[in-house]
Amino acid sequence: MLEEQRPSLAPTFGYLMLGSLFWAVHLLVVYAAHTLICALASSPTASSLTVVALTAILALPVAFVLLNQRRTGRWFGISDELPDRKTYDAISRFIGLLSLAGILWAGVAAAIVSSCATGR
Amino acid sequence: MAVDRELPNSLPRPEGELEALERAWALPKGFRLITAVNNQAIGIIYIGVALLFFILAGILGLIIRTQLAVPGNNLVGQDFYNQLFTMHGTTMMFLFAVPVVEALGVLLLPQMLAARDLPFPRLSAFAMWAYVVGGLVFFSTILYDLAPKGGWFMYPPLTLSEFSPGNNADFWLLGIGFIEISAIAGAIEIIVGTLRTRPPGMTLARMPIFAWAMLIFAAMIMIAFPAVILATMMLEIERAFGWPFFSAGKGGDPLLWQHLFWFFGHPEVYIIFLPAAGLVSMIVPAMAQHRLVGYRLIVVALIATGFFSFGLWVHHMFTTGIPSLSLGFFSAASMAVAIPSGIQVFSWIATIAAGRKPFRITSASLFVLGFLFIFTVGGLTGVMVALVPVDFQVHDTYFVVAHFHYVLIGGMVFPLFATLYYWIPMISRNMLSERLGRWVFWLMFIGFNLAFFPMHIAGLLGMPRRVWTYPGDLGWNSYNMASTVGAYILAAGVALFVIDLFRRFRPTMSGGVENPWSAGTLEWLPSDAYATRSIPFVTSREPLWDQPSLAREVNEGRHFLPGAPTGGRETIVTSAVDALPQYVIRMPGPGWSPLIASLGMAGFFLLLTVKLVVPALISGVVFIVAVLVWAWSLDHDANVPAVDIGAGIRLPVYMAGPVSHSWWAMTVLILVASSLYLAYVFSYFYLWVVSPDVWPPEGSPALPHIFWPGIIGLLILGGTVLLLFARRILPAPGSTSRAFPFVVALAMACFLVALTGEIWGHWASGLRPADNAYATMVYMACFLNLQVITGCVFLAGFTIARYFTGKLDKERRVNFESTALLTYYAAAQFLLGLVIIHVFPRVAI
Ligand code: HEM
Ligand SMILES: [Cu+2]
Repeated sequence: MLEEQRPSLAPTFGYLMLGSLFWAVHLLVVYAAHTLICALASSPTASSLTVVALTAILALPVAFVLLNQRRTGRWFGISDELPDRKTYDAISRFIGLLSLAGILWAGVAAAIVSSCATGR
Repeated sequence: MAVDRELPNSLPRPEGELEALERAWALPKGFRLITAVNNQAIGIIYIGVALLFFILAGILGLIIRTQLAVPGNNLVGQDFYNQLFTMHGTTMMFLFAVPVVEALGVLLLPQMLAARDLPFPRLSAFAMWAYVVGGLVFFSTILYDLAPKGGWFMYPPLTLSEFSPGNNADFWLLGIGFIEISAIAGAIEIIVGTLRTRPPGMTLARMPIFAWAMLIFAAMIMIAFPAVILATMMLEIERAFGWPFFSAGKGGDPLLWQHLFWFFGHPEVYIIFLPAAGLVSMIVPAMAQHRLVGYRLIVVALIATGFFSFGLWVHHMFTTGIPSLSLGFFSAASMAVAIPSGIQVFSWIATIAAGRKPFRITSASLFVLGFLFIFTVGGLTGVMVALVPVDFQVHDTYFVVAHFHYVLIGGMVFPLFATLYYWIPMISRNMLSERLGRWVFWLMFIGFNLAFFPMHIAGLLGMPRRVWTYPGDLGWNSYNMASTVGAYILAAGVALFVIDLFRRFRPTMSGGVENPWSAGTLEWLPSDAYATRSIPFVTSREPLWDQPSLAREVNEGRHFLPGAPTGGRETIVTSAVDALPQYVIRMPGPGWSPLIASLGMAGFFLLLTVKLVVPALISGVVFIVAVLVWAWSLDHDANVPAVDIGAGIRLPVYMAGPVSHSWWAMTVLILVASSLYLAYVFSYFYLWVVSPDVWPPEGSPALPHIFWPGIIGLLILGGTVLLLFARRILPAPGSTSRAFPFVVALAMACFLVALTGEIWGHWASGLRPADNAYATMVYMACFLNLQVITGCVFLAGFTIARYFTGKLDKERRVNFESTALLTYYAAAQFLLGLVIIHVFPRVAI
């Protein structure tokens, strides 16, 4: 096998975990943003809107990757010829699906609960 | 024979090859056995000690249950009861659950990967001994009434020195400190081991599930443990020197502790569970004689659980008064995490159903089935307490105690027993008794459910946890009595197991029972102290099923590296994703240094806790000397010719730079340090949100002029550039480079001066660390920089010493590379800190 075609670790894991990375960023920013907005500006509307906006912004790329799985894989250095390509694609796809569900699922909270009221 | 494929090496094998292998890997004899570093030896002691802690903590659990059997009991007093549950919980979590998993990693991973050992054998030995010594001393505090009593999560303000005087709480912080160090050492070992010492051909996609689970386990340790390390450091500093991190009166916040603790504590649960699930994923296919159904989905589940588990920590804080939307996020994530666990459960059931022959009912499979049942019940109550209103109701009641014992005992103790029944034949001349095994299982299963199911009801009836006794007229009596009876039945099962263990377990490295379950993975290849005779070329996930002649071929020495070409201990290092052979790593043999280093470290911290400063310092010196002796022998001569491992592949036996295992280990260490720093950054901003009023300019003295951090930043950059320059003037082999040691020393001087300058700047402005939360955060940043820079200075001194003894040059440069990597990191951390400390307060609204 030629040296330059060989997959290396960071991109491969990046590809496998792509969805979860977006999920993690989502949790981090919605949690931080709405806590800060509630603490500093105490504006429930602004807080809820931010959460909805961030959810949309982060859900879109995950959905995009899911629709372009193979192309994304190539972009991360998982070439079409790689013997385990299908396994990597499948793992990445399922992680993406789960993460998309996770992002939307958490984002829905903004529609249901009032944003800044103290929970107890 | 037509099946005689092309194998890497041909027969007959040269004379003396096997003997050289045996000589290199022989265990030390007699009492020197304690200097052994072979993973099998370390692994067995490690597991044994972890089981000892399980039994000890279990005895505490029995005392608790005995006390609670009847209302108004006074078998133990209130204060001692507090010590009992604190020690029970702490020991179970930190001294049993996490270590036993690491121990299983040390024992099983190299076998499953057909590596001759993990890449840093002495590090495993060190991690194990540090744990044994630290753990035993910590546990013994219960005998002297010195045990901590703040519960296993040690919330301040209760644990601050005002409310918990004496050394009890310090022992907790210290004991945990040990386990943290040991866990991180283990995690480094496991990450580098699974990624780099797999056999040729075992790509990521062919790794056994247990290896995936351990990889994710170790990655989670890297991210989660630093948070609790930071928290324990801060609590100890507050107790010892009064820096008000957690004191609300001075702008601190006790909730900061809860955030940091649970950011570790929740993933901890999965840190315990994922490896156990990985083990189940190995046992089920063997018992069903069918490939794991949904390998990919299981990997997905492991990764997703790893991530999701970091998004749940606030569910332990639902009742602390957090904005309801946050509660919504964390409630949602807590429910979402059930999905990956569900995926795994369905995969196992599908595998059981898919086997062509009926699922074999052995003791191991009984424990797996028991696990499935109990864990699922625990998962159901988990989804219940993830609902915020339910949690409001049952928080701090016995319902929660029941829930977490269902997940912990179901999710890890039952799989552990399955593991012991399943893998003991690999390392013992005898299997455990299958007949007694049934008894052990049924006693444990019935006892467990009898002990813990009634606790759900007691909890719903309002019985709080952590009460030493209760009045008899609340309707709790019969549930408590049932729980106690159940606990004793459970204990009887464990006792029966221990008896059987003593009767039948005869450890061996060469005479294990041969593949008793007809499993398909590599740990069942015939092996010896040197692991397998040759390292197999792997083409599938269950090589022993797909290549029936593999065991014979491997044992004849026809696969890779059938001997010990350099005469010492070696194994093959392969690339991380596609497992192509890259080089041969030479590994150290038995030695006293890891043992002595762990004793020195234990002595240092323990003596410091009881304020015996001079003996503590002596221990510290012992530690450092032992580490130096150990490290000195690690970097081998670079001028050894490449060796032939078979199939015409010649591999170098020295490697420096990004391909080498030491570079990887340093990278992992740096990731740990950066998680620690991120936890600090979080704490800084958290306290600022809570009490902006103590921040300058109003609440604290004005910051030094912006000019000052500017100079300091330049010094840091200067030090970094100097080190970059030092790399260019590394001497060629055999020659000298007079400037080199001076440049390295100067670089370190820049860092030290910068650090001193930073501290002095704040001190001169009149800021004192105990003033308020802002001040603590400023000085804490300095303290964290001090830690990393101390590490750099030590490494640099070591590098310079290597240079003067002629053991460092352009080729042989591993020591320099490690120093440089850590120093670059130190610079990045320092600069980020300067921005946060000096710029943020100036721009914050
Ligand atoms: C051997 C059988 C066991 C028994 C009889 C038992 C019994 C108990 C009881 C009754 C409590 C509640 C004490 C109280 O709140 O007053 C408790 C707490 C606890 N147990 Fe267990 N347990 C057992 C095994 C385990 C295992 C295997 C683990 C973990 C792997 C564990 C972890 C904990 C923790 C973390 C606590 C909380 C301590 C605290 O409140 O600070 N236990 N146990
Ligand atoms: Cu949790």
